[in-house]
Amino acid sequence: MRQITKYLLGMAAFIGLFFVPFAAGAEEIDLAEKMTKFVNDTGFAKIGGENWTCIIMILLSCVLLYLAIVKKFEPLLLLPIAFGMLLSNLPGAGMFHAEFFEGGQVHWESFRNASNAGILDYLYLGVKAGLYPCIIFIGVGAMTDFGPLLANPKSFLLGAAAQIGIFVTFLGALALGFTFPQASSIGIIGGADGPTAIYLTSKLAPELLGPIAIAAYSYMALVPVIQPPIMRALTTKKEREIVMTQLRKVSKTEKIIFPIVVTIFVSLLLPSAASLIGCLMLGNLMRECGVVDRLSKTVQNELMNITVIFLGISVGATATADAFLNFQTLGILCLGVIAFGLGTAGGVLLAKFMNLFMKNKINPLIGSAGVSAVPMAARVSQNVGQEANPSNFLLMHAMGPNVAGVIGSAVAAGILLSFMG
Amino acid sequence: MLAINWGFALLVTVVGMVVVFLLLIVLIWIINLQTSIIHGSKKSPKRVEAKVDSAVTTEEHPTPHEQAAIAMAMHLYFDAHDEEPHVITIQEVARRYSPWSSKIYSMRNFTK
Repeated sequence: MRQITKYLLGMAAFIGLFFVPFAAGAEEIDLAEKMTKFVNDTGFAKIGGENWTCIIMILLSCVLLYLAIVKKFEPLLLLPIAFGMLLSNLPGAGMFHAEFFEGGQVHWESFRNASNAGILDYLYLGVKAGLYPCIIFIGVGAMTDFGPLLANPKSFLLGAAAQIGIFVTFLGALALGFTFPQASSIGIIGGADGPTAIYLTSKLAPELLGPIAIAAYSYMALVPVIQPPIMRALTTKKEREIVMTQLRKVSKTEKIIFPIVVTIFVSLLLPSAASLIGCLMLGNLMRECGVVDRLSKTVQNELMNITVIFLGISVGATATADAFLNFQTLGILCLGVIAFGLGTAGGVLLAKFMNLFMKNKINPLIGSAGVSAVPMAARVSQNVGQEANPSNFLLMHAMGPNVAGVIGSAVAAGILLSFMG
Repeated sequence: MLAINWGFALLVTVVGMVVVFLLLIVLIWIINLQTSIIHGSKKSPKRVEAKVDSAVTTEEHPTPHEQAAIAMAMHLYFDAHDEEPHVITIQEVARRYSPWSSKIYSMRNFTK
């Protein structure tokens, strides 16, 4: 015991002797000042005063997280979006700086000092460059079977009719006082196509990216709630009971030629839609040609998932308190649901109109699937159809207008971009 | 609201809808053309055979629902298993000894 005490005293003496020269030369530090600075640097201290809106945004992001996790509202996107929103609204964390992207431009000089920029600033560059939506479109293309559309090409008309929601909402947004580019971005919510909405908004009205993305994905998740009442109101029970003839089998050659022809034709006619349509069709060609299975699987899974994470977080990050908590957001949410409703009604009404001339009647319920939201909208058509006639299977018939809607909304986005861009 | 150029807004709306419809209508035409070219070139030598067969099977009869019903009936008729009692028993062997089961024949017999 005495030995141990002796050893410890020796060690203490040695350490004391070692630090004496440093202590003698050390500058005086005001501990109280340092502690005050440390306390003032915490997020809790910054929440008070001007930043009280952050509390609302943090609560809002928690609500969105609840909707994603518990209610399963498009969780793959809503969860990263909500978490991105949470991260960018943490006072003092400095993970996202909206001022780096002010005026629709990337202020590269702000990125020169790496300590200025947060991780979300770097991730957001992918949105700004229009990279993520296009990569997601490659994955969507690789997961889409255009067979039902090729078997029944008339479905294209239903996909086109459902885009009426975009243009009517565009007019509605103008009436509410939004600018032309903003109104175009709000209108595209009616296309029910997340990547297209994000792509167009990042080009035309980046300041509205957060609210528009949240509105688009929330309403896409609410398709089973929004669409059925409109579908029932616009159709009779007899119409809902219509059984459609079985679709023909589509050959592999047709499926391979389709993406190539569509890319060439649409891109030549509407170059502004080339990036979206081109990526969609590239993914589809990978799937159908059968010689690049590895690439097809990669874009459907790994690449798509990685991009979804980046896209979700960075889009959520744009929903800062300043950008989100205003009447514009309320207007966007109202216009978004109107856009969805009008798109649904447009598809159903055109299907009814087509039935006046067609020998083989089509079930008007498949018209509602023209608002992209693949495959949720097609599933809604199937469910509402089976309520009226349990032996009726509309799913594959509805997939035709559903995938036509994806092409239609990309074309509509291209038109708006060429007018407003 | 009055400051908005409604003429331009209506132009965008009308041109937008018309272009979406026109483009997709042209795509319908292209798909129909593509289908007719592909199937036309494939079917041309077989058309004579198809006509002969058409008397036996038409597109309408039997309908897919009828086909499904017939298939189910045939499956039940041909592939149905015998009804078994589902009782498993171990039958007692009446004669326990047999040269076939005798150990003596499967062992070496040392004469020493």
